[in-house]
Amino acid sequence: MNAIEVLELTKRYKKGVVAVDNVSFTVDQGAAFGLLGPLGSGKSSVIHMLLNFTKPTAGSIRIFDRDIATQFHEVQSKIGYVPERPGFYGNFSAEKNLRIFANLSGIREERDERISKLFILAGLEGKETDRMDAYSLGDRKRLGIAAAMLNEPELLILDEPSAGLDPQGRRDVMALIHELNVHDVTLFLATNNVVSIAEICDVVATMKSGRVATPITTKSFIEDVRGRSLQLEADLANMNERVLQAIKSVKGVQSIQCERLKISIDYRPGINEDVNYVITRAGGRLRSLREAPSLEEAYVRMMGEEDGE
Amino acid sequence: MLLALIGAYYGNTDLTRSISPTSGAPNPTTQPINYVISVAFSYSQVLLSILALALSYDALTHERSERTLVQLLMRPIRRSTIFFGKFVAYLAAAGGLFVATTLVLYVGLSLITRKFPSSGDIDYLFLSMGVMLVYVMSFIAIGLLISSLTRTSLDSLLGAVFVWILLLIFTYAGLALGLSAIHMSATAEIPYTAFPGYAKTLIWINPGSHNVAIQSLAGDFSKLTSGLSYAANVILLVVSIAVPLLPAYYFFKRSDAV
Repeated sequence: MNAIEVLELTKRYKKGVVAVDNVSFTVDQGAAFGLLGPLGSGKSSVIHMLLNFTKPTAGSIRIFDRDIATQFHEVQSKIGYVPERPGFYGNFSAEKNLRIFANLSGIREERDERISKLFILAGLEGKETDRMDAYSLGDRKRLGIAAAMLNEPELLILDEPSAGLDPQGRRDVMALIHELNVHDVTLFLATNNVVSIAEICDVVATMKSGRVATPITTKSFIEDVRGRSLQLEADLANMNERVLQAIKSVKGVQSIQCERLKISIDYRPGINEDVNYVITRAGGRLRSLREAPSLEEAYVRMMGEEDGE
Repeated sequence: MLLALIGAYYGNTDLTRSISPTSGAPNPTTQPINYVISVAFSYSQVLLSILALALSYDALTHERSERTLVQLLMRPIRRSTIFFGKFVAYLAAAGGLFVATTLVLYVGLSLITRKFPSSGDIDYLFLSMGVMLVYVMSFIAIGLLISSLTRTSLDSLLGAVFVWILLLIFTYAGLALGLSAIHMSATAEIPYTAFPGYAKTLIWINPGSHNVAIQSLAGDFSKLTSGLSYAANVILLVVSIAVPLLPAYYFFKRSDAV
């Protein structure tokens, strides 16, 4: 069954601005679907229509086989939403906030037990009684996920879950989201961060200027993004002919570009370990080894090329 | 609370002197406690309108700007529940404070002065408190309308101050235009019935002009207030709740959550 079915969805705001332009896609139940696009591409408008916050100008949305224009209340309890900046009552503690939302969700029995479990799941044990004013953005995001999980939704919609977080905070939030998907929660993740998509999603659709491309598997998408330009960059502390010959002997090395102590090698999966091994064996010392361009760099480059067309 | 106590003090001071009864107000001799409460009401009436507006002016804008409205709308509760829940909550806060203060004053004054009200006077007290609560409701409704039309708390605050001053201007403009139309200067008994329609309309726009709480305390329902009968004033006071409240709900229901 499809968790989400969007058909010819259009959102036109006042003054004629078209935020979403005839968009269609489906999200399978249990999948982790990524909607990837730059800021202002229309991702949030799609989310707001999925959540019935705003009405579409045209088109239809079905969630768990219910038309949300007329039957949203029937599926509302199956949907959780984590906004880019989750809102809480600043004067209250985190626990009190979750209690308020649990009461409004009609959760009476097991309320406190469920809230305790969610604090553990979100990695916020010990911060239950802290006032929301004292929460960092990363903690607010994790509490936002906990708040969205209160009614144990089958579909979790996340808007820019990693935006504004430091690397550690981003890692923690993404690990939490991934864990939810492992537990059969369907994920709909809208972001401009290609790395988040690569880490979490199994299907991705790109969105630009209100239009959505046909969804493809994340694996195919990454291959598309990186194309044939991917290389392995080795930064060496020392270089000699022996090291160079050793690298050339690695299976699958097509060409080597050598510049000072940096070597670029045409990439193939698994080549990292082989190169590392032969360099060390030949007496070379490796400072760093990285795939270049990074997925993020390749994506930015691709978007730039598309803009230029 | 403070203003109510000041009013009660002055009202109680009046009781020690010989005050001639005023038409439409409680008689200081036969209704001493109701009289003192009427003075307290006249002092606290303005403050109640400000309190009601202060509570409600950013009820919705605050939820929107703090992004808690999204959290609420993700729960299985209707927008109408959120909207009217806020209305009831603010009424409970402002009205509860008013009712509690009034009852404490009433009982306290009775015990201190040893002048106990008749059962009729107590009925009039509850009737007047009811009228005052309707008056409070009208300002909460105005606050909610401002909140549903604005996007930030600052806009809401400016809107509330503007509307409050505008209502005052309407009243004084109506009074000035009315008096000027009938070539009279201001007197204790203003002949509202003689005013032209536009002057009366300007005065009646302000819910404060329909406040018949003091008249209710006296139990004198025959006197005209602002040129209208008691029943007409009560009806217009109820209308002054509906006029801002229904559009406020409409705008809130139609507006985007984010």
